[in-house]
Amino acid sequence: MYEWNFEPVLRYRHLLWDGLLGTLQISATSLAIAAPLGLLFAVMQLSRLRSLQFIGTAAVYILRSTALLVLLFWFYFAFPAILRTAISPYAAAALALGIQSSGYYAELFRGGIVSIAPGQAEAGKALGLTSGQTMWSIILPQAVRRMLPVFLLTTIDLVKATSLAAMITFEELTYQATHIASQTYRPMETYAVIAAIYFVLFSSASGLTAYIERRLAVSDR
Amino acid sequence: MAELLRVENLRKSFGAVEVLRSIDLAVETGETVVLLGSSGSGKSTLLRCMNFLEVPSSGRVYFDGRSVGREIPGPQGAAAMVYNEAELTRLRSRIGMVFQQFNLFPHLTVARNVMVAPMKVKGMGKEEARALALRMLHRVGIAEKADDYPSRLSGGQQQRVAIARSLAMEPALMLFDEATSALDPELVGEVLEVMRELSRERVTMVIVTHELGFAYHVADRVLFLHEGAIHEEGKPGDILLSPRRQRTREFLRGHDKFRLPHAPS
Amino acid sequence: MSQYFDLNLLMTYHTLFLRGLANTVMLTAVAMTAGLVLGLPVGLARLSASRLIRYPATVFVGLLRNTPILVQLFFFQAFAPLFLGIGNNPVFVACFAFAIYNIAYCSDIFRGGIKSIEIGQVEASRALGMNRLQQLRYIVVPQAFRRMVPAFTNRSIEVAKLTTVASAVAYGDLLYYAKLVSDIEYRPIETYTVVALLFIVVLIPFSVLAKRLERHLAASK
Repeated sequence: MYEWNFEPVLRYRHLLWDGLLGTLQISATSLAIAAPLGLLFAVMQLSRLRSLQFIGTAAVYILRSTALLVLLFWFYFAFPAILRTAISPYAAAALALGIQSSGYYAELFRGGIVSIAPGQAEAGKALGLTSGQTMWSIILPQAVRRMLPVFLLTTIDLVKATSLAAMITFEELTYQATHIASQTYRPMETYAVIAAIYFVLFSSASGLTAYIERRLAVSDR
Repeated sequence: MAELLRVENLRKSFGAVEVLRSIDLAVETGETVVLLGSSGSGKSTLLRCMNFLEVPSSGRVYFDGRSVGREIPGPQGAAAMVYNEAELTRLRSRIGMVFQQFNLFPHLTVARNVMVAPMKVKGMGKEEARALALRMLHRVGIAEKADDYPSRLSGGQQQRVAIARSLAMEPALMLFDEATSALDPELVGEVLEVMRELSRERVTMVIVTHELGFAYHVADRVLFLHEGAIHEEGKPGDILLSPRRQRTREFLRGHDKFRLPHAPS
Repeated sequence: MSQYFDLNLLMTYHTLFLRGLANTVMLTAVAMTAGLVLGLPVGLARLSASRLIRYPATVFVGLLRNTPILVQLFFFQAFAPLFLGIGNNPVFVACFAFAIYNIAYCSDIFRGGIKSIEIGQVEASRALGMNRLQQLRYIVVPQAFRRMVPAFTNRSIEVAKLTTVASAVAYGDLLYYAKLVSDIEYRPIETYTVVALLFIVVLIPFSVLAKRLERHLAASK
C-alpha cells in the first residue's frame, strides 16, 4: 500500500506561493493582450469594410486553429532565433497566451454585440445618433452585461491554460510543482496538492460566475 | 354507470401557494365533464393531478376502483400518500392527455408520433402499430398526412394528431388541457368537432376549456372552479344560463363571445 | 536561414513527423470516442433525480474540469506505476488521461443538449405512459443529438489541439517529434513553424465546417 506523505511537499510551500503569484501575473498580462486584441478583431469582423471583415475573420479562424503549446514553443524557441535575440519565458508566455486567447475573446465580443437586437441600433439612428455614438452609448453597455458571464468563463480558461507555460520554464504554479516533485521524489503528493489549489481557485471562480449570471438574468426582465 | 375516477379531499400546493383546496370530484364512465374557471383557479392543476403529472400534496385519487398510491401513517396521526413511479407510469398509459401546446414530437412523422407509445410502452409490433395509427388518424380526419412531419401541419391539424396519439393508447379517460387555446380562431372548430365526436362515442373526458358554447352543447356536467375550490357545479344549461352564485355570474359575463340560445341579458 | 534547409529537414525526418501525425490523430480519436460513448451516461447521471447517482458524477466532472490537463497528466504519470503497476508507458498515460478529461467535457455538452429540450416534450411522453428511460431514448436524446453536433465539432478541434500537451509525458505526438528534431538539429524555426502551419491548415476546414453547422442549427430553430 502506498504511503502518502505530504510533509516534504509542504516544506516547499513558499514555492507554491511563488508559483501562484506567477500564475496570476502571467494571467493578468495575457488578459491585457488578449482582450483588447480580441475586441479589435471583433470590431473588424463587424465593420462594413470588406477588407477589414476578411482580416478579422481570417485572424480568428487561424487563431482558433493554433495549438497553444505549439505557439508557446514557437515564441520561446523560434521567435528569438528569427530576431537573433533572447526572450524571457515570461514574455514568450505572455505573447503566446495573449495572442492565442484573443481568438476566443473576439468570438465572445462579436457574439455579444450581435445579440443586441438590431432594433436598438435603429432606435439610436432614429434619434439622430451617429453609428459610433450608438455603439458606445446604447449597444455596448447592453452587450457588456450580456457578455460578462462568458467573459469570466473565457478568462477562467485563460488562467487554466497558463499551466502550459511551465513547459517553457516560466515559474508559475505547475512549473514549481515539477520542481518540487523532483526535489522531494513525491510526485503524487505534489501534483495532488497543486491540483487541489487549482481546483479551489477554478471552482470558486466558476461558482462566482454562475452567481453573477443568475443575478444578471433576474434583473434583465 | 360506473365511477371511473374519483378524487377525495385533493389539495395541491406549490411551495407556500395553495392552488387546490380540498377538491372532491367523481367522474362516471362515459361522462364528459367540463372544468371552467379563470386563470389561477386551479383547473389545469386539477387536470394534471388526475394523471399525476403533478403529484397531489394530500388527498386520494381512485382510478377504476383502485386507490392510487399507498397510505402510510404520517406525523400526528394524519395519513400521507406515497406514490411509486412505476405505478404512476402504468397509470398514465391508461389516461390520455392533450396539451395546449400540442407537444408533438418534431423528429417523428405524424404516423410515428401515434405509433411510438403503443410500440414502446405496450410492446406492439410495427405493422400492428401502423394499422392502429392509421385508424386513429382516420378517426380524427387526418389520415392523409400520416407520413408528413408535424412542422408541415397547421395548428388545428397538429392538435388532431395529438388527440389521435393519445387515443392510440386506448385510454379509459381522456384529459384535455385547454386544447384549443393556442389555436387561431378559424382552426378551433375542427378540433372541437373531433372532441364532440369523441363525446358522442361516450369516451370518458375531462375538459378544461374557455369555449362556453362547446361546453353547453357537449358537456354532461360543468364545474366552475374559483381559487382552488369547486364553486358551483351542475348541468350545462343550469350553470351557463342561470348560474346561482355571484362569482360564476361574473366569470360568464366576462366571456361575452359565446353563442348560446336564450343568452341571459 | 534560407528556405533551402526547410525542405531538407522535413525530408530527412519525414518518418518521425508522419509518426507524430499518426499518433496525434490516434490520441484525438481515442479521446473523442471515449467522450462520445461515455459522456452520455455521465451527462445523464448528472441530470438524475437520485442523489446517489448525481453526486459522484458531479464530483467527477468538477474535478476534471477545474484542474489543468497538464497537472492531470503529470499526476497519472506518477500514479500509473505506483498504483497500477504500469511503468513507463506514455501511450497508456496519455490515452487514459485524455479519455477521462474529454468524458467530463463531453458530458457537459450532453447535459446541456438534453436540458435544452422543451419540457412539453417530456410531459407529452410522460402522459403517454413512457418511463424515464423511454422518454430519453425515443424522444429527448434523438432531438438533442441534432443540437449538439456543432458543439461536438468544436470539441473535436479543441481536443486535436490539446493532444500536443501529451508531449510533456513523452507521448510521441507531432509536437514531441518536432521538439526532438529541433533539439537535435538546432533548428527551432523550421520545426515549430511547420507544426504550427500543419495544425492551422488541417484544422481551419473543420473550424469552417463547425461555423456552418452552428449557423444551420440557429436558422432551423
